[in-house]
Amino acid sequence: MTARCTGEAVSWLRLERYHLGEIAENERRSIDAHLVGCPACAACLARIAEDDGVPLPALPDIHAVAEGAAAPPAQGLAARTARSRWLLRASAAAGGALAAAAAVVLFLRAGPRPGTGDVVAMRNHVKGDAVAFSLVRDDGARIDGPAGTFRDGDRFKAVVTCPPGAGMSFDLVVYDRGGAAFPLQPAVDLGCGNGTPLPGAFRLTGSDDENVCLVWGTRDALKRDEMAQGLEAIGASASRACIALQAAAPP
Amino acid sequence: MPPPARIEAYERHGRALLRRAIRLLGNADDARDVVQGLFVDLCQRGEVPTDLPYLYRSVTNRCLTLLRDASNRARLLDRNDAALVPPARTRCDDHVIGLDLLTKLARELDDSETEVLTYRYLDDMTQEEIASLLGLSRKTVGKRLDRVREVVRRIAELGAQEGGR
Repeated sequence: MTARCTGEAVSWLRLERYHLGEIAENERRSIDAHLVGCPACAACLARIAEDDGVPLPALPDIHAVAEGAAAPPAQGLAARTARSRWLLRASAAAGGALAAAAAVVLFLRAGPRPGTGDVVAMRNHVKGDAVAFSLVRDDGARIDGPAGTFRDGDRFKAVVTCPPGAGMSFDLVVYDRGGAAFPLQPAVDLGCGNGTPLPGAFRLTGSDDENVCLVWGTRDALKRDEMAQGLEAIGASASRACIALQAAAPP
Repeated sequence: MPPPARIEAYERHGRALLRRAIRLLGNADDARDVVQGLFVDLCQRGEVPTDLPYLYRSVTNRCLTLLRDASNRARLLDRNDAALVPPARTRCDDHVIGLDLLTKLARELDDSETEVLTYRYLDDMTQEEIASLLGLSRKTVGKRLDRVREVVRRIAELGAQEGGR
């Protein structure tokens, strides 16, 4: 579909800057004159103005990363699974409010077996070779503890705190009664640090409880065929930490 | 809380950047991840550029990186929501550059050509505007657009031949 411009179209970038008031006066007058006679460009400007009342999605709370951790490749949703229970729809707004998560942070030693590490009530700081795992919902609410709740359609990012320079790789597996799903691409040789988000995000749908597990180790230690069979099937060279999410009842 | 400068830049330009990413990727979820990923990376590098053209170009390049990855193509096409993408105002000859054609072109053109294509036919920039944004001469922009037109024609002819069989 094409909307014919009456002359030389005003580019989207110029329209955005016009809307923000970043355009010089003489250029603004020229755009004003064009918009009066060009419904196509005026419609584009109207689309920009429509969004003014729409709340911006919250940025991840990654202040600790800004304090000097290595940069992760935090772009892209390259690996959302096609599994039907993961909702793959366009959605401009974040989900509704959810109860705040537990305040305890689970730190697990990055050793060969999971679940043997210390539980430390300290947030977003790496201590020794500890690895911490949190889920951060679109509206910024965090689930740091071993359990939490979700509502149908909630969208999460996984955030990891791990020793800088450790050269660790991570994968996320979600278990429910329907089996295992891998909503993200494995983060191979992640640039570790405090509060490092894994690339991508995922959405939980339905009313089944979910167990969201982070598995980490060397890149060779992450074997999805093992993970798909359950936590017990994961080899000794990989560690894991899980957050059990209970499906919240609809309001 | 994230650093105040980053919040300020995000609040000022976030919507423009989301719109930009949605126009390229055709869906809001991927667009949001691209924009958030940009700000996360900028924060980690200790940079918070506040000018929209720089951020706009950064988002464009990140979107094009997604589009070039063959593993993303089917997913993006599947999730493409036409209602989110405004009607095209600029055509390449007679062709509207939609998501499907853009993914095909991104495989045929090099990065610099794909970027110029995007600014001309999806962002409706003039050659002067593109040259200014990219720090190139207008002549260079023109040469890249010539190459774009050539590939668009070739892909369109192939499509027509396949459709006629």
